[in-house]
Amino acid sequence: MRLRSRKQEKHIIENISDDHDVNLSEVLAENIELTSQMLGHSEDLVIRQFQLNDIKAALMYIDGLINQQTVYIDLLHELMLDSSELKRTNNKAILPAIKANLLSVGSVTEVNTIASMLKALLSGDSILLVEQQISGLALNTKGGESRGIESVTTQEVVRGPKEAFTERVATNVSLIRRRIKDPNLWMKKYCIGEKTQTDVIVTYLNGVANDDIVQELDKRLNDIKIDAILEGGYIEELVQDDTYTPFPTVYNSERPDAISAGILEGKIAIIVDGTPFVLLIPALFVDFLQSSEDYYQRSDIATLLRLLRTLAFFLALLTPSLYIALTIFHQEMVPTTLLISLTAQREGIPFPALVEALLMEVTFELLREAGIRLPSTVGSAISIVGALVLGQAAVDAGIVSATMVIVVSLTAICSFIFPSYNLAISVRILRFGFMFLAASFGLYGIFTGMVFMVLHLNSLRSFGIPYLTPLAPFVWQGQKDVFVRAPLWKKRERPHLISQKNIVKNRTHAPEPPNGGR
Amino acid sequence: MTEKISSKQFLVLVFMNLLGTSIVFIPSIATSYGQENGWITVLISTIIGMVLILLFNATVSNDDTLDFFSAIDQSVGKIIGNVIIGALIIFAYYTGIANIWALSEFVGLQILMGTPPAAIALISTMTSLIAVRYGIEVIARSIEIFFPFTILSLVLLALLVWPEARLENIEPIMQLNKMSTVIGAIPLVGMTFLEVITLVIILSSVNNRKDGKRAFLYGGLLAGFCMMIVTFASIAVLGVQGTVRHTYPIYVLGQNIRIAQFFERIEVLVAFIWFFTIFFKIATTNFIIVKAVQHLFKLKRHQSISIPVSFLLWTGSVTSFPNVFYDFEAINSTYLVLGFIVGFLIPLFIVVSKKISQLRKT
Repeated sequence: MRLRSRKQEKHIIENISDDHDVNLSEVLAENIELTSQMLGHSEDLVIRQFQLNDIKAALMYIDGLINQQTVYIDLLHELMLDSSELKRTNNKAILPAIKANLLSVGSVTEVNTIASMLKALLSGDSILLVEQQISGLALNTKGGESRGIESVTTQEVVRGPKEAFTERVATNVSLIRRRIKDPNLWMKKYCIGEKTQTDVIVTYLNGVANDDIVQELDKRLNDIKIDAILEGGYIEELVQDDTYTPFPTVYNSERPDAISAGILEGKIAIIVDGTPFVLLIPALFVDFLQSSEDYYQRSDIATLLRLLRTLAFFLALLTPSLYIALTIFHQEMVPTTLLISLTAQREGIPFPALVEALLMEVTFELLREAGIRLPSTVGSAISIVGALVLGQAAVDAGIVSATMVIVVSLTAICSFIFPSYNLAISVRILRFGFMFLAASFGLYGIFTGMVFMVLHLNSLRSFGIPYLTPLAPFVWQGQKDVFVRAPLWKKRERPHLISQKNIVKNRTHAPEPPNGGR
Repeated sequence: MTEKISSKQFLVLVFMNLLGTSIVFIPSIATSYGQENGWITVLISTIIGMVLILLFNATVSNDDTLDFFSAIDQSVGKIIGNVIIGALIIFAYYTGIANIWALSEFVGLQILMGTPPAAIALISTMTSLIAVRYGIEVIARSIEIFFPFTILSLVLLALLVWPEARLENIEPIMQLNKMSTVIGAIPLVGMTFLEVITLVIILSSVNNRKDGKRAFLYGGLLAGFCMMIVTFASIAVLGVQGTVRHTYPIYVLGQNIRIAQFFERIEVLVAFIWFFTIFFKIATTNFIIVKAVQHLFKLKRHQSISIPVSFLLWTGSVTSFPNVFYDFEAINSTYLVLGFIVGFLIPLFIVVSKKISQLRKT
């Protein structure tokens, strides 16, 4: 068979895509040349040509994406040295024979077209091409360098597992599988991103998860037409219900135990290749105030912590605005002695309370942002500067009052309490709005802001589930796991709106001392 | 109507709508008629209110597929139906501006001294506009969130003023002023139970209409009970004269709370009860007007008319009432007449014409 002319080849290269594909040719050299051209003669494409019992063959792979051990020992060694059995097989049956006898890798698939071959090649498979065959074999040799399982960095706990997800989707899947050994844990794979071809795995507990939500997610994922998915955040933004809201409607975590707990409640996890953060839907407001550790500590401790977090939510949101409202509008509500000391402190301050509060809050936000991005060696410098700006020096300079420093510190501490970073950010955004409302309408402004916030929260839905469930609509069963964490034996049912079937999750009786307590 | 609320949500909605405004005005109005028997006046008006709610319930058909407007059109015809809906809109509008005005006047007088009431009315109306645009489901769920706080504040108020109460203030019980005790129930009903006729429009979006009707009754009963407790507490703590003289007796009640020499003047508690109830009353009224206008003009989305309606509500609230005395005068005369026509005669007319058309069919 004649080689295709250059012009023809160029034409082919330009047109190869998923919709417009070219079949593999019978001539080995032609296939190799085309592949090499398609990849722009890239350095990392390795083409190893050899004789397979007098038949020309080639193994292609991308250096760095493959597991070298597998390719060298399991593939090349076997193919080049132990191929005597192939002598008896005729030309047609050669690929099945190779498949059956020679290859000791787990997954082998046949590829017929250039595009599918390239796709396999680029996701770490090795391609075996044989002369006179119009198809090749894609051998799963995925490997290459990646980070091992390390301990969590964002959602640390005192008690509980320490391991975190990694950037590799296979590892992440295994971390979940290892926790839920149930045949009903189903995984569905998507390949999203025209250029990045990112693996996205949707996993849920079949029979527990709400089928409607699973289908809705499937629809939304299939609707994504984008060139790149580099992090779960891309998926989050493309599938969430409502874009224009400060509140997160998709939960993310790098803790396998938190994600597994969500799956067991009937939620659906989305694992995206290339990020240790796994998404969980539907996400409700209360999820962001809960930590997986709540279930590892005793229930009374967990309840206390949850109430503390709820308090922190309101303090982080409202402390500066309450300070503004009380000092500008409602002096009569402050007890007299406190009022006198407040006024005495504010005496030399040149700014109105709002400007004072804004000044300090903005400074704090800047410091925090600077602290995150800085290399750790410079970090200590920032904390010294920060302590000066947000501390005694600012008060001594007569720019802000000492109370304001306390207010800002309190807000800062409270906003670090949340187990989830997303909610802390929403609180940061809303805090400024509340400060302006308080400065113009006092406590009534804060009230209006709260009503607006609750209205907005109620208008949100996460995959059809009202965001404030189980507070509104009020579900009595759900109250056992909101602000209070009831003892495990009392929580017999899964959240109702999320999983509508297979509700009962627990049949344990209350623990009793032996002999009826005597 | 695709939006659905549960009967529980409807119950708290009725509760909030009944307590809005009235919780602050009722004690002084009831006491001005019934004197030391003011709380009995509230009791009588609650009983009348229950009968009225039964009447309102009778106007709504049990057929789940039919909403209130189409049911009216079917039973009395398109033209009379439109007149009735127009009357409902006028009444709801009047209620709406009276409530916005009362809220802004109260906040301007008691909480934000110096802030122009028009500005307060503006942000209140704008917040209710947002609520209307989100729809009744969101309003109902938000009420569910704030309901526990309202009840908690009410219970706290009733408990904390208890040490200040002097029971001789309410004696003698039902010995004097018997006639005016009973008559006083009429203006009370006018500013509480007659107003909630507009809620029949929302009743038709309750997912189970039978339960919704029951919730209407229970909500009315609960609100009546709360009003009675508050009136009782006002008379017992402030005395008859104190209750009548103050425009906002419940607020003064809050100012009387004194715990351990430190928690003084926590009248904010009272302010919160009132804010929550009146705000959701304004939002619900606004929503009802918008829904009714949508039906009259056959609009596709109720959101498209919400901004003009809210603007009219705000303008009305700023220009209609010169002062508190005018307001009290209106409650006892104009408003009562309007309320009687729309809240009593119209539902009666609907029920009767329904019965007649049923009889004709058989």
